[in-house]
Amino acid sequence: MATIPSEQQERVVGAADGPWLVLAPPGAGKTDVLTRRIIRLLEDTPDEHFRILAVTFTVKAAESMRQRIESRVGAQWRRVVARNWHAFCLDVLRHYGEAIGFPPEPVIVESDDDRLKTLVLGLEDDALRVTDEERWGPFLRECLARISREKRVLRQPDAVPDVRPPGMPIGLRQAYEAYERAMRRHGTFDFDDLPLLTYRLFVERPRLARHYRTLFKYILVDEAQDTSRAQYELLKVLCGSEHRNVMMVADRNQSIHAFAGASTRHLDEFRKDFGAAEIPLSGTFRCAESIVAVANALLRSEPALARDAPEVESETGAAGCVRAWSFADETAEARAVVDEITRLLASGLEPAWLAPGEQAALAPEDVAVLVRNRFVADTLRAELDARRIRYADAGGPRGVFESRGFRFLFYGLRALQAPSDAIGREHLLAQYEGGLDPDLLRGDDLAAVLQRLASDRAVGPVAAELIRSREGILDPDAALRRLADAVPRPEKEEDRETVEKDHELLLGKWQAFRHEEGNGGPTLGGFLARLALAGRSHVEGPGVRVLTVHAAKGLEFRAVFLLGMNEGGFPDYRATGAEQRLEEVRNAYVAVTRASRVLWLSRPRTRRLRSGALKEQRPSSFLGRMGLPVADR
Amino acid sequence: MAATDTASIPDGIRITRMRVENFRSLRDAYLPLGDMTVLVGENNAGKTSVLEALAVALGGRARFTDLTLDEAGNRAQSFRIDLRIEPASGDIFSADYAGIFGEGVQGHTSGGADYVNLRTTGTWNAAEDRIDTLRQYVKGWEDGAAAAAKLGVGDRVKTGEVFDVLVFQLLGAQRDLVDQLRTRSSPWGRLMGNLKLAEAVRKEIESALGVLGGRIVSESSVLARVRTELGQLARAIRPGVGGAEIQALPTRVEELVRAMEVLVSATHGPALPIAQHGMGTRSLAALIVFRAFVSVGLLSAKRTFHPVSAFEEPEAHLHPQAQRAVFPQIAEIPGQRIVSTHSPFVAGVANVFDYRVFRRCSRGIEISWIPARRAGKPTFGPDERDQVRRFFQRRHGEALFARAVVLFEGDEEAGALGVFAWARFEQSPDALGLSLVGVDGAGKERLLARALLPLRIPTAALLDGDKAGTEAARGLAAEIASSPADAPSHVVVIPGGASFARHLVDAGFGASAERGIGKEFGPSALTDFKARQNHQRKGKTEVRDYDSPGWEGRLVVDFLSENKGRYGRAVAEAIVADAPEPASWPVAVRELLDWIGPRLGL
Repeated sequence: MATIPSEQQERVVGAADGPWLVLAPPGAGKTDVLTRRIIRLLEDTPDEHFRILAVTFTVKAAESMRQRIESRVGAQWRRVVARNWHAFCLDVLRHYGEAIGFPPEPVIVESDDDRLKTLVLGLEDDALRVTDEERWGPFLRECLARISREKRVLRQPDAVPDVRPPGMPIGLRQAYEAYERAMRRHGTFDFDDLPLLTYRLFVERPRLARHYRTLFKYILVDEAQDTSRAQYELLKVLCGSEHRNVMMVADRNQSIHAFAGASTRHLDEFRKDFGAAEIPLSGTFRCAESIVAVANALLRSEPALARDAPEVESETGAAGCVRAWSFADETAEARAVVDEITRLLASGLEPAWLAPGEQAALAPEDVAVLVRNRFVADTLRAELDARRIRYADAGGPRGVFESRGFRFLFYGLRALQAPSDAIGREHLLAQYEGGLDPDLLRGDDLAAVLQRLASDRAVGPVAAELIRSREGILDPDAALRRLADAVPRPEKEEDRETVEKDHELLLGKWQAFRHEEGNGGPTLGGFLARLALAGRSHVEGPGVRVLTVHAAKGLEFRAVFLLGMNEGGFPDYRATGAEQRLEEVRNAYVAVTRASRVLWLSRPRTRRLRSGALKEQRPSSFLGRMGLPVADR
Repeated sequence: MAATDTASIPDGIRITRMRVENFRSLRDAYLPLGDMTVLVGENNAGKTSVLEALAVALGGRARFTDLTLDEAGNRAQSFRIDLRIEPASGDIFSADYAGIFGEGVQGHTSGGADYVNLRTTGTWNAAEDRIDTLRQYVKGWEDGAAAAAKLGVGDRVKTGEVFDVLVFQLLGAQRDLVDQLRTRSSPWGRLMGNLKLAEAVRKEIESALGVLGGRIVSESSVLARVRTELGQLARAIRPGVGGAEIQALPTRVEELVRAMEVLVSATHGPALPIAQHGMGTRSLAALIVFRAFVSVGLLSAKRTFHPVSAFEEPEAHLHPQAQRAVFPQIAEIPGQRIVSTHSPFVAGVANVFDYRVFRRCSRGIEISWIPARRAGKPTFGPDERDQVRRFFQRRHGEALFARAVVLFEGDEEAGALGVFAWARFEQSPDALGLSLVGVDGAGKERLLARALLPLRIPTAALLDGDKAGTEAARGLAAEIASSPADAPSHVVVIPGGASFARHLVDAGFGASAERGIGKEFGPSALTDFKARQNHQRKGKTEVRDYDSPGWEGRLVVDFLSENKGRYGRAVAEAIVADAPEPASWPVAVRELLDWIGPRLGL
């Protein structure tokens, strides 16, 4: 990012103690000023030991903030706790959650499929067999989404209305209760539990909250427009009536997580509750002039948004390049996009788009393909695969590891921590391909299962190491290395390479975790829980990025390709209410402002339905609002 | 002492408890620590082990020999030391200490303040021939070993940060300022390593040093000659080289001060270098330097600093007067102090509530102290606390080193019992470890027993049979009954409602007593007393008539009871001379001695 410190930025960096609300457009250097403020606070107090809590939106953002601080202040970075809300909550709960039944080494259920299984298991206790996935799946998934929403507004099952929708076997309250019961019985927790339980812990143990608010002399929240109700309430109980050194940094127009219980209302509440004064940041150091023009046009088209923030000016000195195209179908669209990416990677950006003296060469990681819905990128992924172009995808469905061997290891460790977690056990056995009958294994207790598997050819060495590690891991580093070494190397070269990559990935993540925990003694349990948190939205490795708009939040790319710009695609067909329509505009705003130099918008004129039929598509109204002429190709 | 309490350091901390397992002579030991803690007890009872354990728990290196050796000659596999650290005031740690201890902080409930349990585990690593030390925070605190072993462990301790502010220093028994003057790592050397001179001043001094050094060389014919010779040599080795220079003085101030000398003068005498003084002065000087070292550390730029200073036998090499003087010196050192001592003189200046008494017993080492609270209430009220503290400080510090203590209403009984005990056990009470203490009237025994019994000092009392005495006996019995059975105790009430003097006369030793009086007060003392007092009023109702039959024996008793404090030894010596056989001594005396004998292992 260009860093020409503006007077406004310096104001944020140097702002005195007290509550502050920093409002800024995309590319104004929000995270940058936040990071610089933290560095300033550390450098001002070299002999003090208090900590600074920096809440970021993603694990990745926390990681890069940490790296930047470390490179500036050395060992003093240990005074900074940079986490997203979930990771912060996990830290608190792992250390102090036992008071409310949260184990020091918890198992976090990552995937929606596992949550669904948990709900089904819970309902079985109520003698309700809803195993007919085809019939009840959509309803149960809707229940889970609603449960999530309830948790994000801190509502417990007994506060949920006990109404059964017509024709459905259960109501929301019963589902919520069954789900919670199954989670507790299996010793597992979901993501939404983390802020909820931390809030509860602080309420029940006011002195713990007092301890933390003494410890964290400064609290800074990035991407504060996406703070959920639970998170905001957590912040309030953490701060009590004394702690006022809180800085929230936000862009109202980038609030795109209403589905996760976020609301810009919390920004207004923050101003009132904390008596926060406002510091505006205007001007973007990211987006070139033509891209800013498109973003501004979009804002202007929506009075509700235009009211919240003044128009943005580009401070880049670069003209940039914005294009909009339409193609006959998705295949043509994907092909053209990949062509253009290839061309840009080969010959670089055109000098006319750039600021004077700016480098023209482009790295694959500088390029992102953004989509509103994950499936829109399917054709593009196939095209990239076909042309052997490397790309990195956000959070694949299979979790962190690619190879069976390492997934077995991962679920094995997890099962050791929560032996009663039936779903985790299932995952473990699912990775097993040996000759033993899985049904035979299912009934046994974990120790017996591992004993049986220890003699197995495929997973034997790992099972044996898992048994060894049950005896108490005094040296987690050595234990993890032994485990990773024990994973068998397949004969087929491709498979072997995957295993080696997983090996590298596991130890790399472990090293990073160890570094972050310092000599405070990283435990395997803490590591696994952290892996589960990171598994959701981490994009790593080399290659072009293929991301949903939500996953791209907080990131920037020199070239952005925004695909599927059709009505129903973006804006999403599910956005029907006024508030949801508004959020779609914010989504579009976020999407276009990820680009710093090149923005390509495209749409297929037809789309092939699952039935095989071709369907005509109408162009997205956003294209018109942005004032973009669309050229057919 | 208030000025150096940890509570007076803003946002400070205090190590409040310590638990040691399998470390040197400590199999399983627990003791509370205060701002000042005084470890007393015989040799080899584990006092030094506590100081060494503290050194290891606060960042020091452990050695193989730190592992406990059992009777069969086997070393323990590992040792474990737990320290409980609490905020010095208030119920939560300050931001600095919260940041230093991180997620090690425990508590957060309404009962008691937050705390940290810092556990150090040392395990013998045979392959590497060393002790592997693991420092972890533990979740929760237990005083007992079995329960403590079950506590869950938390994060590793960030040792760099923690031991940067929690600084342990041990001043050993072998301390000597002369050694310190030449050692960079000593408190003196570390003090002198950073003189904090202003840059301009330093430049000025160092340039003056250059000038002075130059003058030494130029004015000395020897040096001038040597310099010329060296120059020739240099040119011979490398032609074209200008010559050689001699630097007569160091050019850096810090190097110069390594030659620093400390001069000490007695009241009448010249100031002599410290090396020419006796060990007493040298060791006292080392202590004073240590104090300066800690104070400077506390005042330096670092805001957060918790010094923990340990002193091993600070009385070593010192004569009794200086032994008394040394303790107030230690008391003025900021932070927490732990002192091991054999000296009743040192201990006499300390506060009895700071005592930890070490004893070897069949089960190993036993550490005892006066608990701050008993059955949920403070053991002593504020006034009582003061009385007890002053009693031991002013008069009877040695009672705390005794193997048995007997409390008497007055000094005369104490003196008499000393004579009887010597005659019976054929050793002086001091040599026996028997402390005989007069408490100035009936009533205080109860308080003193409350202090002595928890220290596991066998305690007996001899009380008059009068109203005050029997009341005091009742109070004392109640006290003993409500105390945990920490140590044996015994209360003797003189039979027949009599006083001690009356008891001696009633036992048929009137004539012996008369001889004793003659010896102590002069041959005519009794006759003079009679001439003065006969026919005078005694009390409200009686008129003395020492010649009437009903007043038989009253003359001696009245004389003794009206000349309290002095007579004990003389009368007892006369009785022992007349009746060498203990079986014929007054019954109360016999009963006490019969109880004392086994307590002293006789």
